[in-house]
Amino acid sequence: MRFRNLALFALACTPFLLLIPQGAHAVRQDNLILSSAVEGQILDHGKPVAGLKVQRIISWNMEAEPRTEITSTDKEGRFQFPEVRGAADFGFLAKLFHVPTVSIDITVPIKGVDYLAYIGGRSSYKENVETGLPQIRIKCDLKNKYMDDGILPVIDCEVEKSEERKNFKYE
Amino acid sequence: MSNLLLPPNLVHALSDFVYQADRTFRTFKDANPGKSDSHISNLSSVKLRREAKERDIPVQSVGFNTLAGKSGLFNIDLLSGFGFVAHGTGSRANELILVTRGTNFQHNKFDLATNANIGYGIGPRGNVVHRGFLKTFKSYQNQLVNFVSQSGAKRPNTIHCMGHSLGGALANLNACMLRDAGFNVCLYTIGAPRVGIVSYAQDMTRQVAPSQIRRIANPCDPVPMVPLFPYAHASRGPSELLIQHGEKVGIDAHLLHSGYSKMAHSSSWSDFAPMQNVLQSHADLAREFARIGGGNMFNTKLLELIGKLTRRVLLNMGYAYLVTVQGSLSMAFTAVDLLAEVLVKAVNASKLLADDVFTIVNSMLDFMGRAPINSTAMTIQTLHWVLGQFSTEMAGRAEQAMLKAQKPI
Repeated sequence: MRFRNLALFALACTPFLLLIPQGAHAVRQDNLILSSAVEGQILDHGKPVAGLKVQRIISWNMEAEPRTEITSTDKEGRFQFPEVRGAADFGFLAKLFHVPTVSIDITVPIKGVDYLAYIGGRSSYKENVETGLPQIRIKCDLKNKYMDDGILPVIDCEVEKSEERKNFKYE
Repeated sequence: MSNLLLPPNLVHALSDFVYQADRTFRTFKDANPGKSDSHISNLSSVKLRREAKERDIPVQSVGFNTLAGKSGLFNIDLLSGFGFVAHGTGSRANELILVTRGTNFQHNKFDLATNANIGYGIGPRGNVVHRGFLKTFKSYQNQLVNFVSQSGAKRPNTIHCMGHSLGGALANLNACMLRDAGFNVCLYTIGAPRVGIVSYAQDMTRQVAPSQIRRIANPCDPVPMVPLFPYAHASRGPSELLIQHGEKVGIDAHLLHSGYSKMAHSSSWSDFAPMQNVLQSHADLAREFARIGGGNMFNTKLLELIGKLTRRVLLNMGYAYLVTVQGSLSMAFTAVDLLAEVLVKAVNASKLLADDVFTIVNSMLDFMGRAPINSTAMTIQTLHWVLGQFSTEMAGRAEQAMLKAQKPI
């Protein structure tokens, strides 16, 4: 009986976390970095590819729809995307349970197929998260495109990383 | 034995990376309407293993599998990526890493219903565990069994189960099931809520040696304090480690990149302080209460002392089995529910215990920034009122911390 009473008391008290109004004290946070700026170059067997469409797709768990930007390579095969920041309202539960989750995909459409040139992610809104550098710098050669596991179109690209990131080991 | 455990920075990185599993799964599902869940899982696995490689996380590409699970309350189910299984690399090539993600607040809020879905269910080994966690666990249990059984001749030497927040709760259930199936299991949880009731915690502690459990908690993080008693943590003693993050209870302490960020820069578990499990004498506790003095609104140290004194009262009242399992992190929420039952009796048991209860209650009032009461006002009604206020203030404290911290996470 004593145990049952305790259990009932526990059950009665626990939901208070959820009873705190979500919107009443929501705080808007802005300047949350969703992606560092991107600098890239696309080659085909070593030669620059000009006028090629390149997409950056940013999926953030505080937004229902992904953000898509499109640019084109210049005569040297180079392209850029700017740094992206976001803003959102965080209530009590949002702040307590929100884990920043951002995926950053850079894709190159070739003959109707979107090849993934870069797969990055963020679990923090701080600077230099992706590569340890202020920018994401990639260099791709279209000769390295293929279907990974037969289902995911990808291009193996070189991604520049900071010295600290290159030397880091988990063991 | 220490080589058996993965280092803290890797556990932190994996527990962090697993949140991408959900994002990836949902993105593919939205972009591929009509495709089967197994196809979505396969696509997610390929993308995630590439991203793991990009992040230099040491897991093998071959055999990387996404776990799709359901969260939610009653019939509001949402299939999402709840974790992944992968083989280690190098000397750990024959070890499995099983990571489950935590609650992730986003534009939809179904995961939160997983936490709210309290009540009991029968979990692995017939133990009574939290119904919401159990429902999610069961939704991906078959995938996990299939993956592990597919290992066949390459039976893993060790399976490392880990996760942050809700992911830590699920890691407990994963570890329990896999240990019961005869695997050698290591369990790592970061800021995890309590999973099962006392009997579950006792059973789990017998199943997995403390040397193979690392439960990281931050004394300022309110999440490891919920759900309330009779839910309890599975580990105790040397396996329970603390990360200090400021002096006040607040919600930043729950975040992987705030309250638990020290793990990301640590390659040794010895960098973290074990939770003190030594029962202090009345005199020592009295001195500590005196040293801390008054005016301690939301002070973590005071909260800890309240927990310690509560344990001593519980022991004196014959509730030793609770103290053993609860460990020294029997702070705010634990104190509230246990005191409701026991302290009323303690007041009438002896003058010494009545004095302790008096100290506890007035310390709670001090914690809340309220005026103390005198001993003649110590009625059952007063006690219940103080405990109720204390519980409410603890949640309110987290909210206040959020309001003050108006800066990017």
